[in-house]
Amino acid sequence: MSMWPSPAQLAELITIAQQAAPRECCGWVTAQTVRQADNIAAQPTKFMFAAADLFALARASELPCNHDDFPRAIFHSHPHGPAALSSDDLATAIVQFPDDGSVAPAYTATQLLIVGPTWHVVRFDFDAAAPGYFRKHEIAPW
Amino acid sequence: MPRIELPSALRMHAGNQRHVEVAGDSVGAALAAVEAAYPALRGYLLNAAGQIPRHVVIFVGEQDVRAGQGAATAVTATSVVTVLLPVAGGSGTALGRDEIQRYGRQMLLPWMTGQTQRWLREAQVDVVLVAGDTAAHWLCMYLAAAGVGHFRLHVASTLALTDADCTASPLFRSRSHGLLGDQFCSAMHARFPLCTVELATPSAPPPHDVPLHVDGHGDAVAAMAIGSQHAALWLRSAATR
Repeated sequence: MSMWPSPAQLAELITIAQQAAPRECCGWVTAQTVRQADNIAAQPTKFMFAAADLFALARASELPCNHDDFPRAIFHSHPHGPAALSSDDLATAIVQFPDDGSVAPAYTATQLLIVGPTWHVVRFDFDAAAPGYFRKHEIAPW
Repeated sequence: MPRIELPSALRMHAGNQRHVEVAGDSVGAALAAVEAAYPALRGYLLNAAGQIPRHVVIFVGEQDVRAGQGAATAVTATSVVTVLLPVAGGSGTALGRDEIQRYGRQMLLPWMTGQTQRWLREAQVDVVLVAGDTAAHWLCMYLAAAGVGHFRLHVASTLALTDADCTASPLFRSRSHGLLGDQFCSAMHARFPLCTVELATPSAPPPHDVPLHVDGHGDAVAAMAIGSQHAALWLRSAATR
């Protein structure tokens, strides 16, 4: 069974995060590629996809989930903070419906990758039963 | 009728449809019609004031309506209104490079959030030093190593450092002489330069609201070292009181 994200993808993620530091980087990861998005957030401790990247991500999300270009994970970096989901991350990563209180992942890619301040990659999987709705699942062996 | 494209996360509440067509001559009217047709979406596409909430991004064609008239943006029968969920976030906290290097490993622990390290940095611990009992020395060392930022020492001003303190304390590497409070401050400063350690003024009463009873080195270290999820949770609850 092949490892995903692959060592090459992890290396690319870390390179992107290091080049973007001290700002946060962001983007998404497909089966074999890493796609960096423009971070238009004004503050260095925030990220926000540019409109063009939002559209590109939405288009890719309509592909069959076994397609090579289907976004499997959203990534961003925390050069100034822990490799953990912040309250800002959670606020946009889940959708909570006021009518019935139900919760769903906001992105088709239900996995989130965070590159931490020591250049480790941590993966979070959506799990409605987990505290905070995401389960910290794996630390990339780096 | 304008066509409203929905993101996948919202489709389950709209009959699993990728897009719906509703009547309306403005973005706000069209989104209100969607909410009327699919009540589970009520309050999500428009807020109580009828404006577009921050947790959705609305495009008419390829124009982000936030940059224009928002919910009042006009639409026609051939308009395509795309509802997207923003992809945004961020650590929201800024730790210095020194702190990141020092605390990077514990930031990998599952219960460490962005807030936790900041709470530790902002926390103050009152410590009562007693001659011949080094439990507090061990406790302070582990708390400082975990990132607790401020220590205030309550110690009798004339109390001298003893050989027993030097031998059993993790803070003194060789026999030292002088006043216990002064020597303790110096040793903590030398070992944990990111912490502030100060002597309480003589008039400051020692803490009496002690939430944790320390009855030995092992218990103290086990309870308060950062490896304890309970300790992290306790600090969190203390910070939010």
